[in-house]
Amino acid sequence: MKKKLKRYSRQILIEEIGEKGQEKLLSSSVAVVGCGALGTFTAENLVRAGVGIIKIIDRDFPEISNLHRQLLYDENDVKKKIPKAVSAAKKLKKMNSTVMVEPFPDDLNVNNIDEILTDVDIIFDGTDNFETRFLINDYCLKNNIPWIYTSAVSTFGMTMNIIPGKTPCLRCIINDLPVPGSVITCETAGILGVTAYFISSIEVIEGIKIILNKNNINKYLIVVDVWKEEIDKIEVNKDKNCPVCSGKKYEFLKKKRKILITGICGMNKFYITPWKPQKISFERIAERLKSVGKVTYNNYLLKVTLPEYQIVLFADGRVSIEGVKDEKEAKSIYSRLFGC
Amino acid sequence: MLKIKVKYFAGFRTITGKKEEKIEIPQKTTISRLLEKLKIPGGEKKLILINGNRQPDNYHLKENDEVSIFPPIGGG
Repeated sequence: MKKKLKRYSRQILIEEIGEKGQEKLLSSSVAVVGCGALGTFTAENLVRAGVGIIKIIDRDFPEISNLHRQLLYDENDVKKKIPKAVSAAKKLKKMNSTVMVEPFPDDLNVNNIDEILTDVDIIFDGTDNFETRFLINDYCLKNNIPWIYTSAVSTFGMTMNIIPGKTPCLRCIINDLPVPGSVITCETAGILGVTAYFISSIEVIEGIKIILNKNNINKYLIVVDVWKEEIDKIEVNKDKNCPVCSGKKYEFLKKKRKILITGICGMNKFYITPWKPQKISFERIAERLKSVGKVTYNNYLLKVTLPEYQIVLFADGRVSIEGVKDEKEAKSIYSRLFGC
Repeated sequence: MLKIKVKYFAGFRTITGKKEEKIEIPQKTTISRLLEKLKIPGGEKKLILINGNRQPDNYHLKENDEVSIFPPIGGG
């Protein structure tokens, strides 16, 4: 056995991998977009398994409320305010110095996606919002790159392999961006660390199978409830009216489909406008957000007051966030509270 | 009347207290009408597939259709 393969000897013993498979993993280039609970687990397992190059993309900084589930961060990272991507990369390099780890402490968006994701063989989902997922979906379908949709909240997890030309894509299931507040988020409904690790384990094994060109990749949308030990597979077929895999309209790669973020000069205030007006019902959203901060609402707006931020959701879906220093922070708060 | 099967996933199992149910519906029942009949509380975004296919809200359900109802899960 070649010297460089020795550290993987126990993995190579797995018949489905072998030396040939390990060589293939070592020559692969992958990206993990979002490095929270899903992303840290996925990245660590890919690095230990010996992928050749791994790109870590995340726009956030570790917070104390992340530490119960986000495996690559510690109290020191929170104190020093080191970006997640940088902190994660540093730890990953210690786990396997033979793998190339590239941190991108940035928001993945239409302006930088080509540059960041260039030459990757597969993309692993660790994001916390659907706008980024729709962007990744467009990018992957356009450029013929497989990606694995994966998500977790509360005790529920979901994952689906998306292989251009072979499987349905994310937009075959989710037609359009959910209305702000209509989906539960880790911020509003909580999350058990093991929910993310469980569903990420499936993501990693499926990713390895895709890299190794195996023919037994999962073709279903997998849904788990770790609390109730339930694992279900939902049959999903291609939607003949899908705007992406059938229509080849890559709307999220065009700037006009992005949510619009505008800053108010000198006020630490940003407005986020969905790409099209929405009809918001405040009652359920208020119920969900009351665990996060003080919530008040009337027919026209819903206000959430947190120690550092003041957030207002208007009935047409616009959101103003006060107390943030830049666009990146505004977008981060928006995703965490409203899941979009 | 038509016989169909409705399967719930993730949070909708908690909300309805059921994994699945077999129900009878009148001919020409649409997806929108079915959701009213099932009385699932509003506000939550629902993803619905009929036999694995996404269909418009005015799709007329057919005998033996299998309806899957699940939420979009977005956290990470």
